[in-house]
Amino acid sequence: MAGSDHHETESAHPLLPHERIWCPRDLMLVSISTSVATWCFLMGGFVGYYLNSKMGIAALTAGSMIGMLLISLAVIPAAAKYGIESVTSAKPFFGNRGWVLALILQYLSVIGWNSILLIFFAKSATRMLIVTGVIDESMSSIAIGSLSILAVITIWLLLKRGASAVKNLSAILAILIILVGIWIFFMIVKNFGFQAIITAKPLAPSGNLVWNYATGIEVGIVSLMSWWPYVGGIVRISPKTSQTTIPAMLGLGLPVALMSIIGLLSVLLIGDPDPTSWMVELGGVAYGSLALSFIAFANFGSALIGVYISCIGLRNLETFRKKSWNLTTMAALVPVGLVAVFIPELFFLRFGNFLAFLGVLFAPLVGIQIVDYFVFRKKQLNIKDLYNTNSASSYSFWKGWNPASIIALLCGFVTYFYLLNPITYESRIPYQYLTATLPTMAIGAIVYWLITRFVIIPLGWGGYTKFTSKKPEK
Amino acid sequence: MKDNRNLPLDERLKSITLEENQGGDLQIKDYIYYFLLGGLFPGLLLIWGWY
Repeated sequence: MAGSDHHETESAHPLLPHERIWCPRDLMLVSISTSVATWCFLMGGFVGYYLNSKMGIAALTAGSMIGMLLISLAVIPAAAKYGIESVTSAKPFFGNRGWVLALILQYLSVIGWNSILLIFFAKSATRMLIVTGVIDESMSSIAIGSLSILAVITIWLLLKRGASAVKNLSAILAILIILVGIWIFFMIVKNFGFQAIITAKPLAPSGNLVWNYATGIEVGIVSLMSWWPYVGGIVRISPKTSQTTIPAMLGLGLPVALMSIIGLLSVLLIGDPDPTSWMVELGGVAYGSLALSFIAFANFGSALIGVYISCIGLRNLETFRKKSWNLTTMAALVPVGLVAVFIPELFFLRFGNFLAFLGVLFAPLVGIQIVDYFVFRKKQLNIKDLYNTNSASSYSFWKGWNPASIIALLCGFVTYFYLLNPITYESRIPYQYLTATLPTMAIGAIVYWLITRFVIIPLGWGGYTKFTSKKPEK
Repeated sequence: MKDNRNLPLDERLKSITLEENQGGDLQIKDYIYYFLLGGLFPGLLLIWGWY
């Protein structure tokens, strides 16, 4: 789909009705395939240090669903209405130059996640090759590197078909993922029994049950903040906004919660969040290696969608808009491949810190976007001005940047760090009662509202005057 | 249906400003789903988990 033959689903332009071809079932399957990967096990595993199975299941599921609600309210109304992806949906509050901040956040976050996913993919596939006797354990590092390169090339080839490749592969992967998930749950119950699951103790609880519970909820909410870059690129291919509600909540939110329960139970019962480390021992070589392959491909499917999303984001840049789709996919894949091949272990060790910072930035952004779209824009965007890069655009603010959103973002960032250090998990009151993400989002939203209401609108910036009348201009 | 792949951006934007070419707003039932799945359900789960 290089050059002039590319589809608009491979550009950052708004999609027209006949290009929005994903029915709710397609959207649901793509969402499940996107959301389920080894990251779910890590989330659950982390919560297993603080909470038992009952509290952990409640906290993770509730946190994930609350997080998905907030992400949905921020991105979906604009993205699905106008057929735009997440980065474009940020132009009304970041400005027609400031949106580059959203692009940087998206690029770093998705590239980071994709690198981790490819490392997980290669590790799972290597383990499968070892347990089936195809390769010797001594060859594992070579196998991980080779499989990572193979995955990068395969994703690049698959993405030549753009959104249709994402849809077709997701349809198969989502069903396999659901079956493997059920099988893993069955293996856990069969081998340990319900009684052991109920009575299993958390590995290292803090001593304050309220704090432990809040941390479980926090992990669920903040992890879902990483969906911000993904959601727009997925829902814009759906023809109607109201067709995205259930697929988003039940496809992107609930599966994360359910699969993270596997990680939670794994830690509580075995001490290791990653079921790939024990499924062969418990399930036998045949079933175990089959499940390993499916988990490897679940990571692959999530990475495929992640690369697609980051490519769509990159197409906002003039440089990539003029180049072929294949070159854009390469730009998204090269850093992923380099990380996965040359520094997988180092990246693995440092990635948690890096992601924590990104999650912290997405939280206030979500609060800002909800206030901007629902309160100030009255659910109406000037679609032409979203693509107008000069100062005549409603979204030019001050030289293309909106000071309100930048200040609100920084205030949110400081709030999060005041409440909870995402690296050491040292916290301050009222973290244990409110979590850190929810107050961060609220502070971001309030600061944005105050500055916009009392500074930006009186200055006539942002095109808000058009939208404050009773009959908004469409 | 007219195949307007590679439609110039200006024409595309003109098309998308028409309400019939947009995906529409969230409906009341969507807000109810959001409330049930993202508000009530987590709330009940948290109460169940605590007691």
